[in-house]
Amino acid sequence: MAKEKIGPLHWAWAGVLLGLLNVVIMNSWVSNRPIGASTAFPYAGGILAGLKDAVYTKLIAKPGLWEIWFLLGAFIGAFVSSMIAGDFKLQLVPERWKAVKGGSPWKRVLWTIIGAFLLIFGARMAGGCTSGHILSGFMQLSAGSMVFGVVVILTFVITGKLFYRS
Amino acid sequence: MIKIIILGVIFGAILQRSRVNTFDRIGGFAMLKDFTVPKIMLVAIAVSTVLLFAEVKLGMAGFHVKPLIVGGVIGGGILFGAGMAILGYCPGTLIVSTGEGAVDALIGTVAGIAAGALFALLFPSVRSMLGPNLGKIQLLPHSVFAGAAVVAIFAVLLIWLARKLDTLD
Repeated sequence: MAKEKIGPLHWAWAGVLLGLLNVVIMNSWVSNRPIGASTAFPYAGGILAGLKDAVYTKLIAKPGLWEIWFLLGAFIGAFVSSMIAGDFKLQLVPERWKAVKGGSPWKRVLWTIIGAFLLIFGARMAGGCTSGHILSGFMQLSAGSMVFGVVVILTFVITGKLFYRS
Repeated sequence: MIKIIILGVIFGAILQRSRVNTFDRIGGFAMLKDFTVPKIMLVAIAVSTVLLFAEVKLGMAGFHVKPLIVGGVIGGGILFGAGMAILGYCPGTLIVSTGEGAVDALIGTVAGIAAGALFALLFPSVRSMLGPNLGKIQLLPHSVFAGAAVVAIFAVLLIWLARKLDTLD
């Protein structure tokens, strides 16, 4: 099964394609909304936890469902392209984490759970994430998304500085 | 539904092929050792800002601006930024990385769904702490010419910044 890996897509092309995709999705005849991802999490969670009739679950039903289908596609797309390119790999502790934090799987699992909780709870408080606020908000010169973007980048870099201190 | 899934497949494949979805890239950015994440984001925003402006002016799309809810955007941004640095993924890349076999991303997805359920449960009491809502503010002049100028300057600035960051990689 050992086959040659296909090299990564250049960052500039990835940016151009991602920008084009967002503009296509925004088209009134395509999806008439921008790319977004974080609403899928509370919607899936709300349904699974029996909160189908909760205020919030009802409020986000439409974008929540759209984003669940979109992320299902993203999962399939990533699986297929990683298989074709030869970089599909079952791995619990990422290389860069290992280099700074060591190879303990439990440590990585614990911080993964804490990080994911902060990430999704924060995204829902703000009403968007990297996709919905930063990619899609900045392209519309949205003030709210720009405030979010600045706060995120500052906290991200400061947390990184403190957390990955070696 | 099929249409949305196909759009998602393209999204997932672009991110996966650029490797920007991985912990090594996102965590690497938190360590200020890798700038692939901001470079791709800057180019994507520059391209989509220009094209979307044209698309809207041609009547083929409308803007969908989120409101500036001060407490939510700032408080949420702080939690989100800290979480993303520790986790090394954002909501979309959690799913993309799960697709290419990252087991930590799968665990993060499950934890994220649980966090989402908790938010849905707490929403009635959290809601009042998110305000004030300043409405949907767009930093874009109404006139076509002034709008086009702002969009062009914004895009050039982002591309310049991406190229600047590239010299650090």
